Formats: sequence, C-alpha cells, structure tokens
Amino acid sequence: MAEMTPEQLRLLRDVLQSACGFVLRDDLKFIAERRLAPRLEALGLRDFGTYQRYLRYDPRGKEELELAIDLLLPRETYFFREPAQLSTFVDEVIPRLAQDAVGRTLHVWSAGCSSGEEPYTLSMLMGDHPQLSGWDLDILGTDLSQKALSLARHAEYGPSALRSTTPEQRAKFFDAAEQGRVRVKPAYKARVRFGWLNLLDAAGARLLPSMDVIFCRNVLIYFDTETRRKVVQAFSERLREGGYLLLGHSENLFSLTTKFELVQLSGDLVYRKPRVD
Amino acid sequence: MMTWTQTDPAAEARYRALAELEPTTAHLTSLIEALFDESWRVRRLAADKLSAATTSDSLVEALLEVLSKRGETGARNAAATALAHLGPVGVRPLIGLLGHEDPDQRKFAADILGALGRVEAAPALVAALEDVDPNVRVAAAEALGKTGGPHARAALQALLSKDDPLLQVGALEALTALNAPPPLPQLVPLVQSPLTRRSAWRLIGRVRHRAAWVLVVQALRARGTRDAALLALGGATTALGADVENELSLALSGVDDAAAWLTRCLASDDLERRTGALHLVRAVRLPELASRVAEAAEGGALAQLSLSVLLSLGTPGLVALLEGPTPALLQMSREGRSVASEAIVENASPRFVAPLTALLGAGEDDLGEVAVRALGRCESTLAIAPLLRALDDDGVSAAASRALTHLAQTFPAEVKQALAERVKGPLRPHLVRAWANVAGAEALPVLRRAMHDEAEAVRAAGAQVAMVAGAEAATLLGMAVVDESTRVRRGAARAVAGLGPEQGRALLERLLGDREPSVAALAAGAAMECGATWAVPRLIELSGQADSGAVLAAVQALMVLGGADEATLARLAAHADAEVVKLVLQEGASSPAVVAQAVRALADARWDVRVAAAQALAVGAGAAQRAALQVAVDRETDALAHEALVRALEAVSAR
Repeated sequence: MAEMTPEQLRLLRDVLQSACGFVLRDDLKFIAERRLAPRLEALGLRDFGTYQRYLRYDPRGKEELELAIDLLLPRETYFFREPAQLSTFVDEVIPRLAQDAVGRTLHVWSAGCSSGEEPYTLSMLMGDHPQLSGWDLDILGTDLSQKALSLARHAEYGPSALRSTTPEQRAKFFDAAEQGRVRVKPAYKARVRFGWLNLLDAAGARLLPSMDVIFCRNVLIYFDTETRRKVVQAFSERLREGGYLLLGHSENLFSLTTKFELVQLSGDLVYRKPRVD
Repeated sequence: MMTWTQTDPAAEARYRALAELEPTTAHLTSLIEALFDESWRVRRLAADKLSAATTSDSLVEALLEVLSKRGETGARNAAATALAHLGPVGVRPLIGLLGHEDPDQRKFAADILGALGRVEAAPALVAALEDVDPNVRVAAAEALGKTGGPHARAALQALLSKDDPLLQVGALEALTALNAPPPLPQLVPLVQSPLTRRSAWRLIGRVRHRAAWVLVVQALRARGTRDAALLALGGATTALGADVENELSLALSGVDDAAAWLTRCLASDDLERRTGALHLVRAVRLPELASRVAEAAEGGALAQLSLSVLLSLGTPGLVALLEGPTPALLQMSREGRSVASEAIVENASPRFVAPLTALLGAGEDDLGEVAVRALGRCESTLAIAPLLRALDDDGVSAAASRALTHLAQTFPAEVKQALAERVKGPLRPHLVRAWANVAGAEALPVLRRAMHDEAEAVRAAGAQVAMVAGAEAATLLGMAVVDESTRVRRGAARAVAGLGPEQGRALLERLLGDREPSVAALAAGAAMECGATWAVPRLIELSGQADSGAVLAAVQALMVLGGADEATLARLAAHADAEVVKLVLQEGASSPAVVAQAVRALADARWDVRVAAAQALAVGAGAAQRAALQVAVDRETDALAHEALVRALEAVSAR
C-alpha cells in the first residue's frame, strides 16, 4: 500500500481545506492512506503525489475530490444524537420561537446534515410539539456531499443510525423496510427538504430564507479558524434577529465572532442573534 | 434566562481596523501598541500579525520590551506568542533574557525557547534548572523536553531526586516527550505520590527492561492499581512482545470482570487509557471485544493500533463483527466500521462468504464496497455468484470487476466460465474490464463488440483493455483514436504505450495532437512510459500550452525522456503554475538553469515550492549556493521546509 509522505499529507490537507475547510490532521495520516488506497488502485495511480495532481488536473478531478471528501470527512450522525441538547430545544427554545414568531411559519436549517438524520430528527421533534400544532414547518438540510444528500432524500436507514433511539421512537417515526432497515414515515419526511451547499459558499447561503434556528453540530470542529469565522458569518447573515444557533457540545464561538449572545437555558447553553432595538 | 452579550462595538471596531493592517515595518508600532489592547481578541490578532511579519532584530527587541512590562499580563502573553512564532532569530536574545533579574521574564524566556524547540538553547536551559525561582526551573525543565540536546536527559534525570513534586512532574513529562526514560529505580518511588504517579507510570511503559513489565503485571492484578498500569501500557512506544503479552494475559486471567473493565477502558475519552486497553486486548485475545476494539478508533488517532489489535483477534473476532441477526458491523459508528472493514478485507476467508453476501444486500452504502473487496479475497468459488451480481450495481461494479480479477488468480477457470456466460448478454464497462483481465487474448471478440457499442463508457473500457488482444490491439486502438468521444480517446491514450514507441507511433502522434488537452496529457504520459524519444519536439511544444494538466504531463515526460535544452528548462522552472515548477525542480536538479531557479525559489511564498527548491539544491547545488541556503535556513519558519533546507545544507556542506 502506498505511504503518504509528510509533504503529500500536507498538500492533500491544503486541497481539502480550500475545497471545504476540512483540516486533515497529522494523526489522520493512517486513516487517509487506508481510505484512499482503493481510490489509487481504481484510478491506476502509483502514489499520493500523483493522486493530488489527478485531483487538480484531471477532467474528473472535481468528481474525485468530492469522493475523497466523502471518504475522509468524519460524518458521524444518527437519530436523536445529543439528547440533552434536543430536550432543551424542545422544552425551552421552541416555546420562545413560538412566542416570538411573526407568522405561523418556522424556518430551520440543519447545516452539514450529512445523510439526513438530524433534519429528520428535528422534523419528528417539532412536528409533534403541541405549541407548533398547525404551524408551517420548513426544515432544510444542506451538505456538500451529493452522495450523502441522495441517501438523505431516500430516508432509509440501518441499525447504526438508530442506535440512540428507543423502541417507542422507532415505532412512532419509522416504517419497516427490507433487510431490517427502516424508512422515515411520510409525515415526518414531507416537511424536510434538502440542498447541495458548501458551507464556504457564502453566495449560495444568501439564497436561503431567513432562518429561525440553525443547527450546525459537530461540523465546525473539523474546520480551521478562518473557515469557522466565514461559516459563522454566513450563519449570522441568515439568522433572523432573535434566532438561535445550536452547535455541538464541544463547540463554541469564543474566538470567532461577537455577533451572537450566549444564552444560558436550564438545560444547555445556546447562541442567539441579538435584536437591534 | 441569562444572557452574556459578547458584543463590544468599540473593541469590534479596533479589531476590524487591525485586521486591515499589513504586517509591514510601517505598521510595527501600531501592531506593538495593539498588544496592550484591553480586548484579548485584538491582542491575539496583533500577535498573529506580528508572527507573520518579516523577522528583524528591531521586531525582536520591541517584543522583548513588551515582555518587560510588569502588570501588563495580556500584552506580555501576546508578545510571548509572537516571539514563539518568529523562529530562530529570537533564540540568542531569549537566552540572554534567561539571565534577567525579573523572574517573570526568565520564565517567559524559558517558555518561548521551549516553544521554539531549538537545540542550541539547551545548554542555557540546563543552567536555568538551577534558577532560584521555582517557576523558572519548572519552565526550563518543560522546555528541555521540547529542545532535547546532549545534556538535557542527564539534567532532567537529576531533577527526579529533588524534593519538589512540581519539578519532578516537569522532568517526567519532559523525559516522556524525549522518549528518554530514566533507570527504573528512579521511577519506582515516584509512583507512590499522587502528584507524580500518572507521569511516572507513563514513563515506566517506555523503559525497555523486563523489570518494568513485571511492575505493570503486578499492578494489573490489583483493582486499585489496574488503571495506573494501563497508563504504562498506553505509553509503550514499541510492540510489547509475545512474552510480555503472555504475562499480561495471565495477570488478567484471574480477574473476574476483565472484559467489562476493558470495555469501559476502550470507550474512555482518555487516549492513553484507550491505548493501554488496546494493548491489553491484544494480550488477552477476547474476540467478543472486537466491535469495542474497532470503536476505540473514534477520533482517528488510534486507528492503526485498533486495526492491528483487531487483526490479532483473528477469524473469531471478525466473525463476531459479521454474524448474528443484526451484525455488530451494522450497528457501529462510521469510524469503527471503517477500521472493522479494513480488518475484514485484510483477513477475508471462505468462512465469510455468506455474511459478506448478506452485507452486500444490507442496503448500507459504505459497506457494499467493503463486502465486494472482501469477497474477492475470500478464496472461495462461492464468492463468484455475488460478485457477478455486484457487476450490475453501479455503486460497486468497479470494485466487483477488480474483485473478480483478484479471485481469478486462484480460480481462473471458474471465474472465466462464469464471466463467459455474462458477456453473451449486453456489455457494461466493468464487465468488459473483468472479462479482458480474466480471458486475455480470448477476449478479442467481445472487445470488438465493445468497440462498436452504443455506450461511450463501454467503448472507452474496450479501448483501455485493448492490449490483451495481442496482435489485434493496434486495430482496436485505431478505432478508439478516431472515436468522437473524448472519453474513448482517453481510454486509447491510457493503453497505447503497450504497443511500444514504434508500432504505436502513428496512434500516439495523433493522440499527442488531440485538440482535447486531457487526451494530449495522457498521450504525453504514454510517450514517457514507452520511451518515445521521437516525441520530444511535440512535448516541448505541448509544454508551452495554456492547459496546466497538459503542461505538467509534457514536462514529466520530457524529464524522463531527456531532450529538453537549458532554455526550455529555465522557462519551465519559472512557470506560473507551482506544480510545474516543483516538478522541474524535482526532476531537473542536475541542470544549471534549474539550480539557478531553485535558489530564487527559496524565497517563494509557497512552502511546497521551497521544499522542492531545497530538494533540488540538495542534489545539484555546490559551494556557490551554500550561502543562499544558509540564509534560507535561518529565515524559514515552516517546519517541513526548514527540515528540507537543513538536509540540503548538510548535503552541500558534505560535498
């Protein structure tokens, strides 16, 4: 198996970083070698230096780069992940949103949604919320991987995606599919739509509607500071005043921006875009 | 509900104003002043900007001046950050600062010298271990762990006998960083104190003496010391060896809750604890822990160790992942799956055919390809049927084609017979590839059909494998070269080298002149591969085109085939595309024109170009380039480029 030299690792990191902001750490060299080795074999390339040139110069380089990002970017996601934060969202954020909203429509953005488990989870939580009964819910999941989005639209999942769900949740939100898999019930699927968006694409983000809530959990941790700053700036532009930004439990905005206020709820800390009064 | 508003409009305005400033000499005063800002964001930005400024004695002097400002903690820390990024220019003044009367400044100096990690600072840091101020002593000990140096190890070992736990911990950590464990008798007393225990155990794992493992084994037997022993295992830098593993296994065999304890440790957030647990699982070989072992790769840092431990569990471990009503593999995280998949592919056996076939139909996108790759290595004829089915699935057909080719090495007749039936029907690209690889010259009739297929992907596949057709290959490639589809001509360009420089000349000439740059680029690669020296004039012409891919391929071919004159090399070495420049520097180091360009490239803005320049000079430079290399070494702040430059300087000096 071809080994990646320190220079090749760094060049690959540069390519990935400029494409999607992902920082390939030094200690991920082994993983990168292993996951990309079948690609080298499939393309008939002898080493990672040649692979990096293929990414840049071959007519199919862009396609291959997307594949490489798919293989290397950690995309861990499953239904009802980080339940404490979701409880806070249901019990404390949703009531505030319901109170503040101008009409009876809520726009929610799951940024970096991978194969769709998070936006569907939000659909399940919001769709059954008593205070949102009769509301129009628009939940948007975006990701830069076309492959992940295709899985998300299909809405069919295996046991790994359900590892944090209870039997009651499985019965309520999913229909049985073949091979022990499940499919999101049509009612919960219907209010989720998907879009192909690189979070570095600020112009693309401007095409989205003004959001009431943005979920971006466990995505920023893989970016460098500058990319985080750009992404958070885009969130700030897309979020309405008084709207909420929910990050993963190990993420914060401390060194990134002053455009959000930190709000301590009884169950969690969340960010909110201040109102200009 | 409580709200902290982070917004401070004035600070934000200062931050934005500072962000606009270039780190030039003209703005030095403003940047230094910003180190004193009340907002830490502004201070940090100023430090970042100063780190990127051109290094000079006056900049170092100004930053040292900030360090001397007592009561200005924020500014001092920011200045220290900037100094730590300035590189070797700060070493000498910082060594001087170790003698300052203010202990705070001496501590800053030790900290920054540690961050710089320059070995020339080691003697001064060793001397600072005797400082009257305890904080300076600890900082010097920690810094020595980063600089190393001939006397660092002995000096740090001497600290272990001092009656000062903070200093002892500093010394233990530094010795760990240097991977320089002291003799065991020095460490044993330190495992008694709660303050030094953790660091001492970690270092015990690095002692290459049997007695160290006796200690670890003893500690494993008792519930109270078991977790500490795990740190020693987590610190082990080499494989433990069969005898040590046997003893570890024996030690745990008497422990009732060993599997449950190891399960907890494998899921620990503490990386050293997880590492230790992985080593232990390899020793005790509990296949039921296979999925936990794979999941221990979470975060990526332990993936290699996880995989090797998983492989050590052998077939029983992998069976535990693949079998059952809902196989563990299907329930695992993506990271865990990835490691488990590698192990399954690597250790595939006939036993796995049934579960892998089931996995192929499980609807899990990422596992489909794994199942196909593993089936190709199962060494069983039962794998043929599922692989043939996989040829129809666009998501895994390429992998299935390769897997069938692999399987045919063991069962050529069986795979060929199965494919022969399939190629009677409609052709698909990967079916054509698999058939050509397995049937060889007998594939000719199918390849002829492929070249007339309506689908360009099938024609392209036929062209790419045309060489198996022997004497008929040139005819097949002739059809491909005039195909209207770029994809098919690319297929031909990939294969044409197999005809050799003379037999393939007419086809190669046409491909080299193809209006589509990507075809011409592949043809340049083919010219290189078959040694077509007649193509040099066309390659030189191609190297002047606008398309960087074609230029790069042409340059690569020219470098291998020779024939590029000094003027061409000089032009290419100064090309606008950095990849072309790097390639010329790497391959043309014996040319005076390239060496001259390499010296200029030492100041290039891109680190990778500077590395390539250093590598070129390591091969082609003489005494005349030595001074330029020395200057580059002194100013280089990028670690990889610095390493390459030092190697180049050594090579030139030794010449």
